[in-house]
Amino acid sequence: MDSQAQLALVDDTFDSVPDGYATESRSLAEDAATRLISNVEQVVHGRRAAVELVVAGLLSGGHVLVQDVPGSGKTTLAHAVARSVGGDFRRIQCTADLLPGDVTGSAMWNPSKQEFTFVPGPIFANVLLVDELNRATPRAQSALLEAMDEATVTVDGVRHDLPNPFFVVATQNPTDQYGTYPLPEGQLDRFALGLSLGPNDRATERRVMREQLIRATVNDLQPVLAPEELRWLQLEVRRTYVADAVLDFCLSVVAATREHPDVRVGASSRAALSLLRCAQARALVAGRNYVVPDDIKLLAPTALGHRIVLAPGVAGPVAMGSTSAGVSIVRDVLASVPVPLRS
Amino acid sequence: MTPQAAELARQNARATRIAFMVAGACGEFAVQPLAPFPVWLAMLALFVVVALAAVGQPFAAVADGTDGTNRNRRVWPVRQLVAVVVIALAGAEALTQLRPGDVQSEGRTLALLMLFVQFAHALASRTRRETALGCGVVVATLAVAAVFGGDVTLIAPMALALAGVAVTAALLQRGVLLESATAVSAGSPASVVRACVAPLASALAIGALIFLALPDTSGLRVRSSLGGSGRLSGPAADRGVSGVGAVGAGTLDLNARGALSDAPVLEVDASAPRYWQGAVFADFDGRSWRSSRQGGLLLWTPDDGMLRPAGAPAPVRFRTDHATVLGGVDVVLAPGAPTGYAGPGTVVSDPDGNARFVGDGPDRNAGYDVASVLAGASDDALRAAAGADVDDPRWTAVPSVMAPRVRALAVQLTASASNRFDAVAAVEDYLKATETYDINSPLPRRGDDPIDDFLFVSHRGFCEQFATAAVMLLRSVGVPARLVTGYAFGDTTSRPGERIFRQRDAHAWVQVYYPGVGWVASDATPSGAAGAASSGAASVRERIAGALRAAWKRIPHGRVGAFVAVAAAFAIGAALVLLAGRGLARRRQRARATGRPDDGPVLAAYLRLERALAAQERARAPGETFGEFARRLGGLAVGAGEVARAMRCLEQECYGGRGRQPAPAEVAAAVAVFDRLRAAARDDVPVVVGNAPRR
Repeated sequence: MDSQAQLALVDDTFDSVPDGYATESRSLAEDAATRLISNVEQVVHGRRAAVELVVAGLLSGGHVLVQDVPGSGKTTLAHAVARSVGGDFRRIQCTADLLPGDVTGSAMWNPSKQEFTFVPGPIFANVLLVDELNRATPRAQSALLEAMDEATVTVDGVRHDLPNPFFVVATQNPTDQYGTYPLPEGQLDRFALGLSLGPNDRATERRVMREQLIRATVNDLQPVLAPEELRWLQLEVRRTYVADAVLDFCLSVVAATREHPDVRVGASSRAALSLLRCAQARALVAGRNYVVPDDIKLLAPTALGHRIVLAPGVAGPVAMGSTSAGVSIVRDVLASVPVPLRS
Repeated sequence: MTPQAAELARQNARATRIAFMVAGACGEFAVQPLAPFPVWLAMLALFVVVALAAVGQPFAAVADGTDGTNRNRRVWPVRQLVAVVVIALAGAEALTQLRPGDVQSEGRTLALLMLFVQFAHALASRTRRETALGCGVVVATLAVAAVFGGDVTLIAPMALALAGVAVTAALLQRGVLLESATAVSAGSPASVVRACVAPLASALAIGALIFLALPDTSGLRVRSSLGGSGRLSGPAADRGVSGVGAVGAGTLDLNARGALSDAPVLEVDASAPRYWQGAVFADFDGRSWRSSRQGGLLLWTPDDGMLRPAGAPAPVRFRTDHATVLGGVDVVLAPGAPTGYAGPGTVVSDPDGNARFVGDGPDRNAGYDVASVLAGASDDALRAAAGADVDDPRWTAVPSVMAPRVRALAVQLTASASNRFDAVAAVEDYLKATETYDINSPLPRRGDDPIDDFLFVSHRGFCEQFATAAVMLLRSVGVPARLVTGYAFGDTTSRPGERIFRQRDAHAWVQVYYPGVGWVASDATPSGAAGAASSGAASVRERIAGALRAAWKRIPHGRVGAFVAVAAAFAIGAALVLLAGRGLARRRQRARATGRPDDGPVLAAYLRLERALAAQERARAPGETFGEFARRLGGLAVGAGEVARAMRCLEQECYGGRGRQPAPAEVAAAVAVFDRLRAAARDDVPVVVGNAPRR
């Protein structure tokens, strides 16, 4: 099949949904997304943009990495998102002595049956919160790789499917903190979004203090989205139309990161795809059934920034694994890539 | 923002634009020393316009309507007040400075007026673009005036104006001058400089071009109160050089200038000599030449037939020529001193070589034959010329008021000359090398010594200055010389075999007496200058080249002049580069904004708007999305909410794909919004707040 025919097929897929249905399901999807966001916002204050980004990542079917200094609320955010989505929720607290088996589960001797049976690890969940991911050793980190990429786990040569939907939200401390292992680039590339939270303002912080003085509010959150609903939303995201002009814009942005003088390894094709998926999700959240360049522009720093490997000597030794330099490079690139009006 | 306020804003913008067009046009005339109409009157009128605009209700209404913040209401009356005070001061200053008739003071006053107008406008203008444009027009006018007008005194106001531009830019940057703080908050210093420099440079270039293209009017009007002695003051004004008047009473005033029209005067055979003299002048009083009558008058009547004088010295050549009168002629024009005449009318002549018709000259198309004596010899013969010199003291007389440095210069020039011929050559060479021929050179001020002014101050003049200076220099060292007026070169192309003299071929040259030879013509005016304008059939290229040459000659010389010329050339070059760059950028922007046949109606409307905004350099930046651009759009004409809706509609049309296109009602609304924005942009009502982000 040549590329033109493929494109036509893509277009037909987009258009195969009847108009009336599209509008109706669209508003349902928008409702669900809004519900999710406002639910999370009950607990996480002053971080609307971050919440929207995480939700976009969730709806796109990708995984999200939240990076900031300890105590800035990243775990609360991840936790809140995880709890808002129904289904199984598990949490892995990473430490230096975490073993791969602690993540994936392992075969245990069952004395009554006189055989080894597989006991699933915490990874078998709809929503997995991996806290302080970079405190795990590379060996334990790599155990997550297959799971995140393939949605399967292989233990002792046996493949085990993970539940669907499967959403990983990981947090990470800046790598200059004591006792951390920088995430390998391959691992970083598997996260659809890498965002950092930044400090809260005084009023918000005060409100958070007041609430937290009473109790940890995140534990009161009720799920507002069933796993099936999330599956349907993710399907709906895939139906969001991407015009050729927008696709071209996305590819131009990705290509421009590769040509930036400060960059050793720019964003990959996987990065482009996941950026487009997130943009589709964001369009859905905004109640649109088509992606506009604004979606790409809004998401590109978070979707591409953490995947960019800087040229040696550009950002100094501390920047290893840090996303802020990459984000600023993507912003730089976005200012220069022309926005196409049409393909 | 009410519709009335929007309408007022539109009217304001239009009035300001017209005012500046008038200012530009007046500025062009202001640089001409002898403008054909009292420029300052027009300037005062412009003043009133700006003053009214500054204090008028419309502006106040706009200030209220823009966004209605308290800040505007507080700032506005202060600005109004300052504008009024400035205008009043400037008006008073202008009135005390103006001395009608004094060209230079008028020019300086005009420059001053321009500055004040500029300042008042800066106070009254609403957008940065208007302010920058105002700065540009004023500075460009002054610069052009200084460079081409030859009045170096204009440099000071020019520097002031430049400083004014800098201050304006600084104030703009701080948001002091504009009522809408948002209009500058997004402007970086570079963009403000760009906004000021670009219009300035283009205005400079355009001003220079207009100046070069405008016909030089400085020679068209003779502002003199000569009381009838001026050669153009009587009915003879349109009769060319023949207006030298009666023999013995003819005058040639160096502080006045004749009209140089294309009217034909005389037609002779193409092979006839190129110089035809009409009047010989003996006495110079420091201001004007006068032919004095010496010896008896000779009356030639038609009955006399051709007279052939006998007993003339050997090298003298006689010749007889036939001429046809084409225009008013009241002296007998001949290649040399006329000695005989056969034709209509009665002629009275004197021994100097003046021959004048009694009463009116011959009718049009009447022909006459004239015999004349043409003295001439080879250079060596002239070097060796010896014998009895002419003993009339008139030929070596210099006016008592002549500046001593003229004589000093003459002595210095001729120090190494061993004979008369070499002395004449030295003087001629010096004049040709040092002085600049300029048919439009400013006339010396009444009361100034024209020769001193020509030789030592302005270094610019036309044939009369060259010839008079040569005669005075030669007479200072005892060489008998005299000034001759007539016609030179003429036009041999328009009618085959004929040489036609036109009024603009009028010329003045020198005759020097060589013992044993006679009065030999000598032309101190640089060759190619006299009569250069006479070929009516000059090609366009020649005309342009001529204009450029003339423009170059008009640049004042000397150290300051050279500096100004270099600076002006640099500025014009920079302006051209800037213009070209801007043009390219705009073309790129336009290419981006060019519509395609399959564009939807909303996109087409949006592209029209973008083209209009590109003219203001406020279009969407290439890297800006519609959403980001929409946040900058809006203002007086259309509300931000409407713009956002229209932009969403545009997005849907562009990126929605099949089956997701906007509804017809939305499309119509969006098109209407874009068209309204475009109309506002054309009328200079700010529709974009802040500058486009640039890389």
